[in-house]
Amino acid sequence: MKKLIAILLLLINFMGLTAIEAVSGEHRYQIDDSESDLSKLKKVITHKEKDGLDIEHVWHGISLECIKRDFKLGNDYTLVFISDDNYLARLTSEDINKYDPLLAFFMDGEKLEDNNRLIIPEMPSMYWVRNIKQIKVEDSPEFLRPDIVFLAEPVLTTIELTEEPEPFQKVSGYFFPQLLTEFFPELSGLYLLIGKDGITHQLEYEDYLSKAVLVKTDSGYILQSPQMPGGMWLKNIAYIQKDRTAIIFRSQFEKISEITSLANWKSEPLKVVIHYTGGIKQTVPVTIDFSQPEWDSALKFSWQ
Amino acid sequence: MKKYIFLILLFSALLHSRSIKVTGNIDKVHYIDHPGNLNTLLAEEKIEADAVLVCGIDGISAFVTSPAFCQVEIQKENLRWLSVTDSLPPVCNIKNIEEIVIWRSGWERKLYIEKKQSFPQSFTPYHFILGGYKKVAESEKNGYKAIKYKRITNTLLQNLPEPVRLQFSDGDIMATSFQIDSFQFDGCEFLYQHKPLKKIMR
Repeated sequence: MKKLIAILLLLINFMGLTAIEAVSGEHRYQIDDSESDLSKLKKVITHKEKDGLDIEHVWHGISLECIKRDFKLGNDYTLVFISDDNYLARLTSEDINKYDPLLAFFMDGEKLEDNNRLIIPEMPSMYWVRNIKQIKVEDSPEFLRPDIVFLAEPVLTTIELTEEPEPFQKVSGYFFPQLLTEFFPELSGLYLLIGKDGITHQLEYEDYLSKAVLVKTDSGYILQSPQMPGGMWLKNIAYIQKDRTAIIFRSQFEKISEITSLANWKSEPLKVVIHYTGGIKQTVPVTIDFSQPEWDSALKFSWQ
Repeated sequence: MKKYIFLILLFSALLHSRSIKVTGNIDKVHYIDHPGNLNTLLAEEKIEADAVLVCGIDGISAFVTSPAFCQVEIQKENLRWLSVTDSLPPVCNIKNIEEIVIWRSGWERKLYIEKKQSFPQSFTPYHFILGGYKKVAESEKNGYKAIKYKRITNTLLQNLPEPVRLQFSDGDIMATSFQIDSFQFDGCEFLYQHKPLKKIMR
């Protein structure tokens, strides 16, 4: 009898470890992943080219609609997917409505070794989160167009480049908090981080960024952190925003309209005020390229 | 002569004791000695600020950004200074102001402290003062954000390596056992044995 109870407890514990918890504020429940009749599950077929071959996979799982229905979510929300190893990806309600992602439990008829995986054929594989332990509902945090935009490069020249910044080896770079200290009075909080390729993260400082490093490469900087799984590292980081203050890596852009597009600003004023050392300012049209001499010794810009 | 100097110092101390001390990322300590709108008072002192931390004697402080300065009135009631605002979150109403700490980005004066962490941490005067506060909550009203802080023990100079190497602004380096009594911070400048200090290193 004792053995049976122990096995039952182990089983319950194991189920608890593999189940996905859906959380919205105070409300939470475990997503039912016990359905094994594939005909009752949603099916998605994906194709991937590898070594000249077309590899097809058939995935079975459930639609994320269930979360929207169960939490009675409105039209504007974000789902945060957190994996067993702390990997994190966010999908907006717009992404979810547009792509109808699958929360898969089976691949090619077999139960997934990683328990589950998010399948979104139209989005990059970094969004295909494996082994999800929690799906959290967030009100869509809105990053409005910043009031002030700092340029990272002039400040990085004043910070000492560190060879092999711990724990990373055979690279050189800057500790990310050293850069942030220059611009933000309070480091904690939620940051919007965007790579040149458009890959976007919204990450909490304490959980993901307090030990991060900007690793120098020929084309820019990789934001990597021992607090993030490697798949989350951002290549050619281009844009950082917290509240109404942003930092850009000017070398990743040719003009302001590219920032507007990357950061999804709703509007762009006609004139920009460029700030230089000693409080000197100059107002120029927003269309002026970064290659123009007006930008040569710029420290930051704001709007007129 | 000594009496005369003493009287001047005493008079100056009394005068400033009835003023609000303004510190942080500014060249030198300023004092605000009359009421007015925060934006105007800072402009009168020619202080440029991106944000301020309004610190109360009771240890409660409010962080307010520059667009909100014009919404804050600094008033005097008996011998106490108050910040009064209806438009900003209630935390911005500090009852008995002790100090206003200025935040300005890109401030060059910093103290680098190298402890056992993997990288030297740098602190502008603002960040050094903020090391003595803990964030309690963020709130928003009329589109203005404010952060409430509560005073805690500032541990930035605790657990320093032993001995330390001190690097001064003039480039001098001293290997010593760090004596806290020799460290002075007036809110704007870091000094050790009266010399501007730049780095505390392993």
